[in-house]
Amino acid sequence: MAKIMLDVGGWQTVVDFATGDPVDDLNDPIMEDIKQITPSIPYPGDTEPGAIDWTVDAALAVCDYYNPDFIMLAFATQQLIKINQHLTPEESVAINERIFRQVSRFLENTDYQPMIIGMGGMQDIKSVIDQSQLSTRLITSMCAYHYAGLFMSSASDAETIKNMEHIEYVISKEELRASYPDMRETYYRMLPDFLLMSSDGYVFNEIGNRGIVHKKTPQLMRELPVYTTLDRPQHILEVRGILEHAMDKGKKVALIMLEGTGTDDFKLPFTMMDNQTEWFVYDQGLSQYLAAATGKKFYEYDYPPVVNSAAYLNTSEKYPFSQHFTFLPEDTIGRRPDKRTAAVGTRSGFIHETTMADICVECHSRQLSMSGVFVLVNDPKGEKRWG
Amino acid sequence: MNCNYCEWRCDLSQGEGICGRYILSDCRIEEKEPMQWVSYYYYQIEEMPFFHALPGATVLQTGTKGCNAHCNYCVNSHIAIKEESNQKLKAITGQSLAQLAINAGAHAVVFAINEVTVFLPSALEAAQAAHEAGLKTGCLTNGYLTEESTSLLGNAMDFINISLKSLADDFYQENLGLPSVKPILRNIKALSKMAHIEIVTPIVHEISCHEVLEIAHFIAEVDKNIPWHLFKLQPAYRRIGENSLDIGAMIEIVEQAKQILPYIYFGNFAGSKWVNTLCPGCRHMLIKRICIGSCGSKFSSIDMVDNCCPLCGQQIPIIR
Ligand code: SF4
Repeated sequence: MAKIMLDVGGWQTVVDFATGDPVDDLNDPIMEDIKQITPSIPYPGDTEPGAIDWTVDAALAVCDYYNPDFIMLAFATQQLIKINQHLTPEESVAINERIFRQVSRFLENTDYQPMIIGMGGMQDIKSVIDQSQLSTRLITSMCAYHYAGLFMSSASDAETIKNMEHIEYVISKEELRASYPDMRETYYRMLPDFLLMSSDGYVFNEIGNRGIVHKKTPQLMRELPVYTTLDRPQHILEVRGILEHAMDKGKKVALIMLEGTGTDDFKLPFTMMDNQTEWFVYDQGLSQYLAAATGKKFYEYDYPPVVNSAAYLNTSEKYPFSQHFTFLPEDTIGRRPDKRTAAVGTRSGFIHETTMADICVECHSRQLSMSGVFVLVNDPKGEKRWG
Repeated sequence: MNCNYCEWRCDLSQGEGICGRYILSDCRIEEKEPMQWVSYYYYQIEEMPFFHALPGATVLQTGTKGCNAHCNYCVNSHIAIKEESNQKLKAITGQSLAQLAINAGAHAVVFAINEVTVFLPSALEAAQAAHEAGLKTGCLTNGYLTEESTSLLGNAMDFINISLKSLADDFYQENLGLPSVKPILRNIKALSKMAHIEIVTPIVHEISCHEVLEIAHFIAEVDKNIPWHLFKLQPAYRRIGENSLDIGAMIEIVEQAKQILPYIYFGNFAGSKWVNTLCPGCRHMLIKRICIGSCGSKFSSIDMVDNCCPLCGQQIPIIR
């Protein structure tokens, strides 16, 4: 049974991953070990620069304990800080440089071959897209900044969105299914009536759920900078295959995802790789994590890029600690049965929701309010030796 | 001319009051930006938190900006205390808010982002529209209202969550910038007769067992059936970086307080096991919730027959 250990400032509890029910009779040596590890890595908070160092501290602790063949390190702190806080140019540069220093620390202390991806820089918001002509509000998501969905649309709304300014692409639910007939039924059902992609720098909503005005927004990147000592990917969907191929040859590999880092501030020699499938650009967030961890195209995922989250508030279904996800990907690099896998990072939720690695260590936060450290010890697949 | 929305009773002829949300216009006190809202979003009602009102319902949460208190640990200081330069409010009529709620399958409109007292006329207007549309209404308040406002609020809302931080005036003076807790205690008593109320006590600091039990006794004197939420709060704003509450020590205190009040909850941290509703008679689990983190207790399942425990038949105070 997969279990989650939650460490809230030293108070620890273990719950069933699938149901969220407390696990009172632990009897699990791995969890007992993990409980000893987390007090030494307290999470500093989503908008604390110390969270950058935390990612590496946690990754080194996991490597020390589990020695995974694959590890993902996800650095979300830069994006979270730049969206939510005004920074001076010096502060902005310092955060990015701190990330690269920490990445170096990880690589110097381990023997991993890195694949480092700059998920895109941050920019000023060019403008907020005017929705005043619509009878309803477009649904947006913190998982996909350049996408929005029109749900329960009226005929006039459907007409209005075709003429809205700063919209790069609009596609209807039926057009999507006709274009990608293999999409899962659940994906189709959760699609908005119309999916919209904005032009670079134009946002559907500049305010987060708690009313915080966003100061920056991610760039819409059709290509991403990548540094690796392995084969060079030409496309983000090739990343998984290259990492797996290297593992087949006995190498240990680290996928390092840098949110908020673009070409201007990428501190290592890089090449560019494609980051789009037809018209769909993998946004800085969930879709890039899924693209890298699964190697699958956006319409092959379990969920569309935007869902009407108000319809998925109920936790009586599966995985209550995994946002609106009631099923999670099985065909990921992290689920490889013959290799040990781990994922660590400051993007609460996405770490396990996209990799499904054997051990996932994340901050546990909601709307920037910090709750502690989340460790998933997943169901082992195949004959792995733990500990 | 004095504003009579809250107990500060600011003289608005001298300029802006403490909250900065009311002005004097033609010898009348008016809201600065009536019917304008900072955002709206959908949540489960348990996230507000309300545990004994509409279990499992989706609600539309909205609010404005500003506050009449100045909590040094405020988790919403970007709205309540500090003016963000680009913070624009959006005009939405009460009817539109109600329609937005209905479109999303929500059962209530809840005024919860900031203190309802500083936009009371708008809240009353929106609440009336929500009621006319068949929705319920609720709000969160720090309780520092005048008696007149308390009466308006109590008559307009179906359920109210009142924050009671302490019973001590000096705690309120030091941490909230409010002179006294007494009007809040008075208003809790009054509101308990007008609407369904729940009380939340945010705990950012270490709190003594003695103080917790004292608050429990106060609530029990008002009405033993009032649900009480002890809320672990992450130190924020001016107290950011402080050590947060020792959960283990608090659990022992919660267990003692259960002897005084039947419906005590301790949550706002991931994995809390103290967010379920148990029958006070036979301890049967009536409402199961999962606490996923900050403001995140979520409804999971309910096992009641007509608001009664299915095993022992005890009546449970819950609005459905
Ligand atoms: S509501 Fe605002 S203006 Fe009115 S008395 Fe209170 S603080 Fe002063």
